[in-house]
Amino acid sequence: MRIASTKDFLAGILFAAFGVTFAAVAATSYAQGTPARMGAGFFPLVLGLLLTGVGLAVMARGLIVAGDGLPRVRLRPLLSLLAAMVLFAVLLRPLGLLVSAAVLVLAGSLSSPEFRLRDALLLAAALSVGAVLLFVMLLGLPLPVWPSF
Amino acid sequence: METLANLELGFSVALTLANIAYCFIGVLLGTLVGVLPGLGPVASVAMLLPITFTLPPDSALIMLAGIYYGAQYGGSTTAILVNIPGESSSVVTAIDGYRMARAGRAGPALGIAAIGSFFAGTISTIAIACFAPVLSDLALEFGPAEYFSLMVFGLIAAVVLARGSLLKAIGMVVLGLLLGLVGTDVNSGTARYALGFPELRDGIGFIALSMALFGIAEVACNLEAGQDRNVTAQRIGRVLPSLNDLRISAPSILRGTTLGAVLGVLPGGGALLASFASYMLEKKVARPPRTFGHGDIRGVAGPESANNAGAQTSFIPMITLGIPSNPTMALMIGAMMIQGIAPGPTVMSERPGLFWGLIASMWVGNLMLLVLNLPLVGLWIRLLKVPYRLLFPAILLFCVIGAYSSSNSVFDIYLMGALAVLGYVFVKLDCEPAPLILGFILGPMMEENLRRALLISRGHAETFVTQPISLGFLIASVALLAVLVVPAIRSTREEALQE
Repeated sequence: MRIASTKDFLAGILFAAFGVTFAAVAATSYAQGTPARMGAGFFPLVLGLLLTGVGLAVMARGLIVAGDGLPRVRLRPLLSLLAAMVLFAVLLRPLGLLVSAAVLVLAGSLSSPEFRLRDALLLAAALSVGAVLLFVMLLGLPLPVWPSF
Repeated sequence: METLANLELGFSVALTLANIAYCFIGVLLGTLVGVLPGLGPVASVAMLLPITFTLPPDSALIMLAGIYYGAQYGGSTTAILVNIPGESSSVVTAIDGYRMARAGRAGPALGIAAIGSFFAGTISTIAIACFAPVLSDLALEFGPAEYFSLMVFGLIAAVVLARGSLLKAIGMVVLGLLLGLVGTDVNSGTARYALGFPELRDGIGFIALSMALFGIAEVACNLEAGQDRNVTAQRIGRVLPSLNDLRISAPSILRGTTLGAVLGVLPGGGALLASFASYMLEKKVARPPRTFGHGDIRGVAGPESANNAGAQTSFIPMITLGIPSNPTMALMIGAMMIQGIAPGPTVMSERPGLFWGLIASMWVGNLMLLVLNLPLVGLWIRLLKVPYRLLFPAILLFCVIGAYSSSNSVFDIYLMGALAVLGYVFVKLDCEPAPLILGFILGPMMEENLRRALLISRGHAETFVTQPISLGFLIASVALLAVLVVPAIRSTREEALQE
């Protein structure tokens, strides 16, 4: 059978998957209680079932009503943004904000197709110093600035 | 008279040197970020939230409000000068505003936008001062059943007014409600959906969630699409509109303000709906109509006044009921919670300084926008030319620092990464993230009110339909949904919400 709108069909699957998961966990792991004394699982179970229903409806419409197919996906920008974030999270504790912010900016800049090394280096220096000045010096947020081993 | 005394209290808070400074910084930063393409008000507020963490609550809210309408105005500047609306509510501004800019009349377009916005801001500040206390008092009478039904109505209205598919928007709301339930259940102490992470016992960080959806996922998609924009308006022209411009625009500003102030209060309304409705109205009443779409100043004056009025009055349900009418207000509620304030009708009686200070600061902020923006247009144009490859690393940096600072742990950075992937999938599947964030904020509140209502009624669900106010909200919700099924209205909605 041909799927009329891949986009809708996939969105429906996503909703239904979330709905089933939330509902199943609520039904098996948390107390339902009685209506007068709702347990921890009551509301999530109701919502989970509702979301499953909505998901199935979206899927059904994706099968019948013509719509958009899946857009082209290039994962490189997203993946390198994620990699930059993970690097920052890993480096922040040992190396401090100054270094990890510079690394984040450099690594993040690689996600752009228009990457230029010189600009990226300058930007990394400016933003990491700026971040320390703004967030730590001016606003007093408790972030480690310098490397500590 | 009481209103005057209240406003006096408000101005005494808003006009302290520190709060004027925070309002100024907020408006300036908001405009700055709003001018930058690809960052709307929601992303701006989310991104700049961390800088308010260490401020006292009244200053923090005043600054955030400043950021919000600054970003709103900045978005209009971008729309007029580059034809790229920084946010959806200035989409219609771009139609005639950009034509004016190409004809060398960018100056008057920007000028009338600023003047219209200021006028609208003044009127809606007065409207808020008059109506907020009434609504607050009314809301104090609400029991859990009324609250629950009000939230149902709010969410349904938000869904109906969301762009794109209604079914998907409902899905996003429900998913948001569920995500909001993650964490320790206050009643039983059960850690729900924590997946074994101790950090998730406190729930999904709302900063991490909003930055992931409106910041990181956006950046990823922008990078993927590639950016091409050129600032065409070389000549700005005189910024002050001529007397003739003012004469033509005055009725549009008035109409836009009224329309915006009313629509802003509706859940899901706010600036977006207001500007669209105003443009359609202006187009209908304009004589002669043919200049619309070809650089008609009324097409800038009306929607710009409307979106500012709507942006302002959308504070009313937020501050009186604790119910967000749009994602930015959801962020404001989150910010209040971070500051340790329980949003709801008690804010006005328990923290009058904060309540009235925020309202008074709106007017101050609007005045600043007017004074600030016209002379600084040159600076904004230069900012517009900053290439995206220099911009997005800064956004990224603000997001990770914000996520980290919200809990002082790197866990929130990983969480933000995971949610950004989800946000990216949403964008690819045409699922608007705005309803999700509303649901997320309302999830725990809805559950608590449902629980209390059923406790009081000893488990009888009829309580929601036997209490008149609650029944009213539920009937209104059903009516809204039913209305959408009628094909004629449905197509009007699609026409109004299409870009």
